[in-house]
Amino acid sequence: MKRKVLSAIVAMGLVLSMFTGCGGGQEAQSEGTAEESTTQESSSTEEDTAEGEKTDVKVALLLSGSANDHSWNQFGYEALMKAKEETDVEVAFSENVKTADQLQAIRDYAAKGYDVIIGHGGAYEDDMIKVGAEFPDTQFIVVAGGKGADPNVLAVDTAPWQYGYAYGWIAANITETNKIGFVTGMEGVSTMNNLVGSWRDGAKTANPDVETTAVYIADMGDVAQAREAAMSLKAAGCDVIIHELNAGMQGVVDVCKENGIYTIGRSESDVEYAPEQILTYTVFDWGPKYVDMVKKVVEGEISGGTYFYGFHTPDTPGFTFTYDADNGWNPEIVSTEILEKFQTEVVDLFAADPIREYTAEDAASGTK
Amino acid sequence: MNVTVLVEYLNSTIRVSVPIILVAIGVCYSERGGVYAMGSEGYMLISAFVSVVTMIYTNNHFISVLAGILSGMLVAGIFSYFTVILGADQVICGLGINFVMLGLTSSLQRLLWGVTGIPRIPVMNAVEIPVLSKIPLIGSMLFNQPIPIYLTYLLIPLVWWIMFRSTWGLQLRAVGENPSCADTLGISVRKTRILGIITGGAFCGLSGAVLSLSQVQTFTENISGGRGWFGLIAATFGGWNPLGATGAGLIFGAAESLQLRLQIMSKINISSYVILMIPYLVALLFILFIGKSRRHPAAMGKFYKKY
Amino acid sequence: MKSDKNIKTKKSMIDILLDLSPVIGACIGILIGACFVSLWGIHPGTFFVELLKGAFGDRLAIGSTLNSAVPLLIAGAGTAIAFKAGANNIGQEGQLFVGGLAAATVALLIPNLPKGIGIPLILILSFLFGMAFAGIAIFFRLFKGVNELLITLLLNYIGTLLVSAMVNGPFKSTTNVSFPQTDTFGGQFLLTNWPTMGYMHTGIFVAVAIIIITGYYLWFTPAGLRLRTAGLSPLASETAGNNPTKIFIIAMFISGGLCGIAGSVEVIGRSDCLRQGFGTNIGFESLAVALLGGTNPFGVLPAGLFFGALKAGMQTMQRSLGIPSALLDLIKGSIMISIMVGNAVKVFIKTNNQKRQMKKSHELAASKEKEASCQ
Repeated sequence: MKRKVLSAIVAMGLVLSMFTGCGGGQEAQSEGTAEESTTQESSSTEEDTAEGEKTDVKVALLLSGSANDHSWNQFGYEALMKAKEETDVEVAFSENVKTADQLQAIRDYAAKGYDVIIGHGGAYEDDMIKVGAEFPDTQFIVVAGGKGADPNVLAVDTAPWQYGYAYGWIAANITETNKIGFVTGMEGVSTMNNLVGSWRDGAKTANPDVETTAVYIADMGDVAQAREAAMSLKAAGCDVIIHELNAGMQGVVDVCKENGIYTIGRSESDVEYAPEQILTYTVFDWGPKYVDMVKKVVEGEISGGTYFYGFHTPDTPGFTFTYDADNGWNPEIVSTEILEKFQTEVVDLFAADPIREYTAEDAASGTK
Repeated sequence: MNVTVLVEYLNSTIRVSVPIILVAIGVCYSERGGVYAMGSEGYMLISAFVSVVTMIYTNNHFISVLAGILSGMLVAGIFSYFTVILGADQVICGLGINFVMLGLTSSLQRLLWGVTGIPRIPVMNAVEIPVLSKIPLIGSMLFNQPIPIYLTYLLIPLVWWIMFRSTWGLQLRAVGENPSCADTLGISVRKTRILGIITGGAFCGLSGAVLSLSQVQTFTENISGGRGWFGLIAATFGGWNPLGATGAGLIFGAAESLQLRLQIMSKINISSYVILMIPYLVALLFILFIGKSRRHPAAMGKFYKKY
Repeated sequence: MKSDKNIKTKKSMIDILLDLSPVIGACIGILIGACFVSLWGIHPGTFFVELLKGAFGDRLAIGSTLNSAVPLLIAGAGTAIAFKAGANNIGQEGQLFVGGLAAATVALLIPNLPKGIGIPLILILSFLFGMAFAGIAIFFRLFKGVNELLITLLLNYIGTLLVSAMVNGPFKSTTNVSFPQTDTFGGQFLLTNWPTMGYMHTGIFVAVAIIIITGYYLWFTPAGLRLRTAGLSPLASETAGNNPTKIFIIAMFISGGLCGIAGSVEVIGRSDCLRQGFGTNIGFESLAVALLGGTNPFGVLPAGLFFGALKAGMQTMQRSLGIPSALLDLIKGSIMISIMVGNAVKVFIKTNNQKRQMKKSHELAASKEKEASCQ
């Protein structure tokens, strides 16, 4: 037994030395979906560099899920590609980063000299702050979550309480059964608290008689589970179901389409698929925001703390409600009168007073 | 609780249970023959992928389901070669298959469709059976479902009969309990086991096809989401008997559906994570109060060498 | 007997090669991975180089290799003990999650513990929590006759959800509400990290110590012998006067406890608070490590290190090559299967060789007898 183990170790050593021997320095051109090879041209010409401006900026992105999950993580990936297009920076990304591996991944990028490291999701906050302290010249960005930390950890978000409120307000205005539902996951996380809590608040403000029911599923990517959740809400009498899920949102949209329930989408294809049920789809367009953030770093600016995009930042909108080319919301369902009220009672409300916070209690699962 | 909610809950129970029951039946066949069926998630995944892709190209549900089943059988066949013929460790190979299928299906999806992913496929509608679906409660629960679920109803008694009343079923069970004895009687241990494993793969394949074609309507990464494991648990729980496995699968489905409804109905603030534990706690409680001794087939996991 | 001399087991080249079959299997698995990666236009040579760089390339890499290996080594050793005794514990995941919970319990409920007591207390409590989970399986097996395979599998889910519930409920962080996790633990509860050594943490010493202890226990003590006998032949064990129930209980408790320790070491070594889902996948990976190491703690050491290197290397490689992370699962699975098949082929060839040699020696003996009788 021991001999076997010893020989295994020796052999492994031999095998490994074999590889490090040959292998050489072949850095092939990778046609991969992500980054450009690190042996790319470095165009650092004197004339292009303005005072304090950085050249050869490298941006890294960390995704907790898959880059093609049709939802949250895909937004991040697409935004990265947009940033690369518009600012000509070098990019790299990691997907399906497990919680335990976050710290190492962030450190790895920082040690490799990336100037901007973006964590797409609140899970990265703590690890970013930790590594941020070790690399003061690198900009760390946490998307959707946290409070950031000076001087170089920025927490960016699209004010979830604003669009959550909008969803609830509209839903309460169009419901005929006075029952509306919300399907999402990750109960207790601050983004969800703000989203669901504000949804309830917006609904009740528009219509005090409405009953709001929130259901949390275990896996935001599980279409079948989302489907069941939507069906249970339908059975309870809801005629509007809002959702915040990853790939699972397809399940909700399918159920709503089959049963004539109103819901929201995530993209144009959803409107095409269920034009009568979709109220809107929210374009978060992280692309311009990433561009915005990267540009600041290129100009030599490193920031910390929090930054929210929303109704109060009309130049780089936090979110855009889109139904089609002419309408933000489905014109058959959401009338112009409602939209006018929406402008004053929701948009203007938040433009004047942008920051709010909701608790876990506000967002608790169940009916209120 | 009003009737609509109850009916909908029962309907959902069947929907959720069927994929689990199908996997459980497959596991029964494999494990009765004495081979751990750890690869069930893998068979489900490859089948879900293949059936959705077939659907995109043929637009025919029947062919797609068939393709899914065949892919499950193929992978199970490869697994059976490694374990029954070569004698590799069953548990690790099964787990390995799970990882490989997960990686394979996700990678192929990315390779062929890029980041946009596989498009949606047409819905497999529920088919109402004329008279029967009008029976109060049970009618809409059992007889207003997509066709593969009706197929499952027919399969359950059939597989029970095959396992306990047919010659091959007897041989399978013998091989699982005492392979050397079976060998002496002239039964080919290898052939019987391989057949059992491939049957298992077929059922897991059917489960994956049902899941992807009728409940999810596309393929998403890791679409099986642990249902393979549920099926394994249901099979063990049900004493490796298709009927028992069906019962266990139903309990799981009922509990799983319940926890969603509970969230809606509860006015008390219970953490959704606690509610999510319900199916597992139900399983444990069931075993505690009703479960009897469940000894697995005596020769399970052991490689049988034929000299 | 004269013929005995002819049955010699010569160590030929083939024999040595067969002994290395796990290694060859691993290489084959990696090769399969390289083939797939080439579909993304990446040269296999680059693939290997990046993989090795990620695992051993620099201090950071070695550090993360060792860190990745730590929980696998500890839980793997525990699992090895269980399986050697014939107890089918596949509840590593659940046990390590509650082990992590134990760490949080100590750090959050008794935050003012002086240095030097915090960590040992965490290790002890996590061992106990893991034992408790294993205990549930023991209870069901002894009083209800249900195989522990099923119960431990169920408990995996319950353990994971328990941590989620606690981390979203009573233990929820008051400072960071953007992710389900607890407050940061006080420094005295955390294992030392060495930034200069690639952020390696002291858990590796705990892991090696546990391997040595469990290996010694299993192979050099009478208690260990009893355990092994029970696993190899329950009948022989009972005939020898051993109490199978007692052995089963001991094996399950030890393995559950060690998996619990694996969980807490992971929490206090790799991070500074308890996070939802911190141990995802580690459970099954340690099961794989235990089996790859021949359910032998001494075998778990190279197997665990190898797996740790694989994980660290693959993650870094994914970052530098931009391949979809799904390929990592593919590679992991291929390696597992290849190693097992390699083992099987080795056994196959060896027994064939033995058969042939025995046949030869019998023929030799028979012909010699014939000679003798003819004379």
